[in-house]
Amino acid sequence: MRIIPHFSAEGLSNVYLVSDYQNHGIIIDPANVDSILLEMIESVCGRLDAVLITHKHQAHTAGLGTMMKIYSPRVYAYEDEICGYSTERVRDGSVFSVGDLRIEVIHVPGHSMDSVVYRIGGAIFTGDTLSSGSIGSTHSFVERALLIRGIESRLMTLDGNTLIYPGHGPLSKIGIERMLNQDLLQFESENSAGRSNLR
Amino acid sequence: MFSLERCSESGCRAYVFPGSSRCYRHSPDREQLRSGVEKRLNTESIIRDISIVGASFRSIRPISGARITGSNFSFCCFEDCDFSSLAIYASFFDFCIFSHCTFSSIDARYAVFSGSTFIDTEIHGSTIIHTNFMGIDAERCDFSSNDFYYSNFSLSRIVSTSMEDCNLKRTSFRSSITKGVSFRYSNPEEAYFRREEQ
Repeated sequence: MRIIPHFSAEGLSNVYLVSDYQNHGIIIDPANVDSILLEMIESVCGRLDAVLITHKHQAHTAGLGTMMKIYSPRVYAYEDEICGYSTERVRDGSVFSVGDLRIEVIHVPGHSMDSVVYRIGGAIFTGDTLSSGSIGSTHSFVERALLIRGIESRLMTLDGNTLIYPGHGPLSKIGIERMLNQDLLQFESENSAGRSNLR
Repeated sequence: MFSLERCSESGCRAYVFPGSSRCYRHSPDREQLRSGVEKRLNTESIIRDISIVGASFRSIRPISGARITGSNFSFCCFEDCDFSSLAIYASFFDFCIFSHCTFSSIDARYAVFSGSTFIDTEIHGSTIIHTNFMGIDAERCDFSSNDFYYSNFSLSRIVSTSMEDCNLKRTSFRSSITKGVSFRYSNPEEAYFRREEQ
């Protein structure tokens, strides 16, 4: 498997090109399509079989229309329609393959209700759910608690060597986030303080 | 991209050494593997897809303009190494120790140095963007004249270190200890020091 990150000026987001050694190509979150990204696709795999959407926000989907016009890939997302294109809907636990790549879907709502994390081998593509040192923004305490609960139970339980490819910012590993993610550490300390106050 | 296959040794979750079914630590010929990687680092212009965890390297001198891509050097020790004019792309150097090393005029993107310790190490005149320095420990280092755009130094301990003349736009220092750190000619006002600013 090859994973190539690309920085998009649209929403300052990361776009990922993933391919197997039979040149099946996947784009994760097509934020913006520029000539560098197109050259990358052409030189690495020369085709695009699928686009995976982590969630429906503009900063992660703005380039989908261009991708569809050039390559007509299948689009996978939690929602049934993204930017006017119908998708193959995924749900928590969905598993599908693109070439030799086996993709598992982990639904972690909170940042948005349609947020999913894609797991391919030892790598996870987290969108806005989890970034290096922080978690996704939320609109309310309830959504924040939902997001943290999902991250703690579904992502932090993965192997520490699992590589994290977030929608924004630098790469990381689960082991690093367990030790150094301040939003998770803060929530943990607030919770333990709350528990001791109740005693 | 290095292989994400797990080591065949029972209970080991580390990634395999390239071309092997075991990780570096569980390989019977560790010294041979380590010296092979050392030779590649010193002589090849494109070093890719290596995964070697917990090895020690001394006096590495990659050739000028060499490129390390899609590799994993977690928990390695580097002593007296000169990484000048090196390009590092999407590679992992987390929890490493860099002692008396030089990174001059390097180009690093999507690199990970989290949890690493930098002692008497110079990172100078480099472009180091989208790079993860979370939880690093840097003492008596020179990190001046660098572009650290969108890099993350949160929860780090940076002591007696120069960060002068650096681009710190969107650089995060959230909850970091910066003692005796000079930001002269840099733009810390564009960096993040608290969660609310991000």
